[in-house]
Amino acid sequence: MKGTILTYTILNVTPEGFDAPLYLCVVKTAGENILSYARDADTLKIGRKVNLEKQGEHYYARPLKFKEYFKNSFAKDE
Amino acid sequence: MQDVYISGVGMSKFGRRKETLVDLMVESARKALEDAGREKVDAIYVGTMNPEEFASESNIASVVADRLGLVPVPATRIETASSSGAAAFDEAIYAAASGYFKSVLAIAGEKMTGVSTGRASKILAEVIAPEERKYGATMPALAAMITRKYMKEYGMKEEDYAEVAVKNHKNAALSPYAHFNKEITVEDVLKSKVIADPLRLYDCSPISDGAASMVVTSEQSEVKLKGLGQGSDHIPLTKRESFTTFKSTKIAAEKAYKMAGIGPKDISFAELHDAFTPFEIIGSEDVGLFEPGMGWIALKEGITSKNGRLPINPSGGLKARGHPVGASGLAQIVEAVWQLRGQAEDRQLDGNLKYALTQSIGGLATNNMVIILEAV
Repeated sequence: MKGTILTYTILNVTPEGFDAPLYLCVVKTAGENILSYARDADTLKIGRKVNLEKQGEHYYARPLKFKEYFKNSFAKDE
Repeated sequence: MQDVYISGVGMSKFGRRKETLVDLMVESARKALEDAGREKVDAIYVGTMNPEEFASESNIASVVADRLGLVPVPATRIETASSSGAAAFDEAIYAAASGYFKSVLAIAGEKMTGVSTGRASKILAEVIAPEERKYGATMPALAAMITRKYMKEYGMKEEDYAEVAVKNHKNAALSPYAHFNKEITVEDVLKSKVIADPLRLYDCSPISDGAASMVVTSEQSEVKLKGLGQGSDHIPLTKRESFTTFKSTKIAAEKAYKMAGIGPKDISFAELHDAFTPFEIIGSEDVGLFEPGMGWIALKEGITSKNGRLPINPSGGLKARGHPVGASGLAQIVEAVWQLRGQAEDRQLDGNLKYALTQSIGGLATNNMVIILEAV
């Protein structure tokens, strides 16, 4: 699922059961806004196009490359 | 609805207190009763967020009523997360305004330092939606994402909102009730540990103990309830319409101004919910004191300082007076009453203070209150 990062944080003080740092972002998709993990700080930028990939109960935001983003857009249009 | 007045106020000192929650509530309630010149009231409303987990206290309204020697008056617990103190005030107002009770005691408090910081953070995080909590999201994390979005939208930088902490510590240094009496600098803020990027330790309100109380009555006194409003919002951050404003505050403010028959330009000063420093800025915009994106500029220009045109948080705010979560909403109103009466001692604001506005946030702005008081 494709989307755009609306906002983000890097959480250094985490609750029990979570290792720091946590890379968190809110991603705007076609249907709804979704809270997601990112794998690193480099992914986190407001406006960045990402693909949301679900692993278990959690989403992970992966940056989309320029060609990948437009390829997917064309595929959707078709 | 009949007119309602505040006839007595009282507070415990905020901070790390050795007394129990009930001790603190009783301390502040006795001060409020003495200030009102009363020994008895017709009803009690007790605002507190989570005394069961923070302080292993339950059935707290009955316990406090008994300790105050006020049995058999009706005693009721009110809870709206971190706005519980304001909610207790609202309920007291409704009760007195209806005419059913003539005098009502609102009490609010929290005892948080009896548990570890990690435990306190976990209890506070229980107000977050489960689907967001499962990612490890905390209150500072969600506040940080709101801050990040505001910074992008309006060009605010870390050193800009650090000024909220500097201003509020300066105000709190004048208060015998404040958790912190130490002034800090922008450099101190920017050197403090990053909790949730971009929010640092000094951008976050502390874990505190404390209580505040107030007697409201239909009998005329110096400060009158002019308007109040409440608004709620979806629990998940992801379901909000905006990340740079709180709709619940805007709705509450709109209702309060309508009831009061006045507008933001009439407000003399405000006590706003600065649990995180950027929230004071957002709050100042949401209640209409400044246009969207202008709150941080007003701060930088000194407009919201103690000697500014529109002082915000002369008490030191949640940031420096302290934030015993259930108490804060009522403590804001106590400060407003002291200021309107001219009894704020070293914190007293200059000028002819006519209308005071308070804004309290419950959870991550899921249950917010705005209250307007008038000096009569």
